[in-house]
Amino acid sequence: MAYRRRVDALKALVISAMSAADATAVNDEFERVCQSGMIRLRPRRWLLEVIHSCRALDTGLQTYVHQETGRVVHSIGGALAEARDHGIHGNFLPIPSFHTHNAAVARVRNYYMHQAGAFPTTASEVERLLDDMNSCLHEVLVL
Amino acid sequence: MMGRGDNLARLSRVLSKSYFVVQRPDIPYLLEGPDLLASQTGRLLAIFLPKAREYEDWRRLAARLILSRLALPANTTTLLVIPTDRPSNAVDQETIGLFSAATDNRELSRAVDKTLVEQRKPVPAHVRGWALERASFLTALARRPETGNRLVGQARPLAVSPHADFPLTPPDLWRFGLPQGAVVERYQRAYIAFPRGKGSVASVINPYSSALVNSTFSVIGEAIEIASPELGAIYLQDRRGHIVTSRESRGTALAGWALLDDRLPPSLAADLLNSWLARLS
Repeated sequence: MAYRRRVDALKALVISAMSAADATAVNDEFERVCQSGMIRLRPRRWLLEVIHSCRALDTGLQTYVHQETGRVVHSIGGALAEARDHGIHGNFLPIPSFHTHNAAVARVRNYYMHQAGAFPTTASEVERLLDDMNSCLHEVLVL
Repeated sequence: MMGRGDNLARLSRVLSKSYFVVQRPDIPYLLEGPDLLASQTGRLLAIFLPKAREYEDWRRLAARLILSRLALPANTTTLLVIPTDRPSNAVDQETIGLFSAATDNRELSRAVDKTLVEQRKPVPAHVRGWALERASFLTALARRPETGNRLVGQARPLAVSPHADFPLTPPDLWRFGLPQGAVVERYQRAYIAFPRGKGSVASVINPYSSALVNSTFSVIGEAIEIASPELGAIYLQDRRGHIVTSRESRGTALAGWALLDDRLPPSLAADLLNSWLARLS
C-alpha cells in the first residue's frame, strides 16, 4: 500500500510532464511493478519489480530530457549527465545527486539487466532500489 | 464535523471524474506534502487541507506549502481547501494569499478549473536551484559524512548574488516557532540542533524544519524568495539504534537540515556547513 502511494505520486508527475502517449508508456511500467508484487516466487517477483521499475525510469528520463532539451540520450547515465552538464529549465542536477543516482541506480540496473542468473536477494534490497529509482526520476522531473 | 480523511475521500471522488488523483501522495523529498495531487497533461494541482496544529500555528502550513512547491514541478498550482464546518476566519488572509487559490468543499470543482487556468507565480529558477543544490549536499553529507570536504568542493557557485540584501546576522530561529526547550546552537549561518522526543522522526523534526524554512525563505503572496541563506545539522537524541531512512534524510535536507550522527562531530559539521554557504560569495 505504501509503495502504491509512491508510484501514484510519480504517475501524477509523469502525466503532467509528458504527452498522454508518453505518460501512458511510462505509467504502464509502474503498474507492472505493482502487479509483479502478486507473484509468489520471491526471487522472480523481486527481479520483475526491478526490471519494470528500470524500464519506467529509463523511458521516463530519456523521454523527458528529449522533450525539454531536444537532446537524445540513450541511457540512465546519459540522461543524468545531460541534466548535470546542460540542465533543464535553467537548473542543473547537483553533482552529489548525479553520483548518488549513478551509483545507486544506473550501475545496479546494468547489473540486473545484463548479468545472467542475477536476482535480488532480499525484500529490503528491492525496496531500497525502488526507492532510489523513484527519487532519481522525481529529482529530474522537478528541475 | 467531517474528519480530514472523510474530507479527502470526498474531494478525491469529485476530482477523479476529470483528473488522476492521489490522496496523501508519497513524494520522495517530502516528509509532509500536499494532501492531494490532481494531474492532467500539462497541469498539476497540489491541494492542502490544514491540519490541527496548522490551525494553531500558520507558519507550519506555510512551511509545508513552501517545501511542497520546491519538491514539485514549477508548473504546479496550489489550492487551499477550508472545510465548511470551520469558521470563516479559521485561516488568516495572509496565509490564504500564499496559495494560487482558496476555496471550501462546496466550490471545489469550479475552484480547481479556475486555479489551473489562472496566472500564478512559479518558484523562481534560482530559488529552486539553490534549494535543490542545498538538499543534495545535505543528503549526501548525511549518507557519507567522510566525504564532506569533497561535497563542499562540488557545490556550484549559484546565481544568488553575493551582494543580495541578506542580513549580516541571520534572524533568530527562535522567532519561527522552535519547540519549548529546544537545544539549538548557532555557528555563523549554520545551526546545530539536538531534538529530543518520542514519536516518529518526522513529528520530532517537523518544528525544526518549519522554523528553518520560514527563516530561510520569504513569501509575499505566491512569490518565494531567499530571505537568508542558512542550513543546519540535526543530531537526534534518544534514538539509539535508529537507522535513518533515505526518505527521512531527503525530506529533512530539503528543509535545510542534515540528519547526522556521531560519524561527524558537531563542530566539524558546522565548519562544513558554513564552507558550503561560502560558495555563494
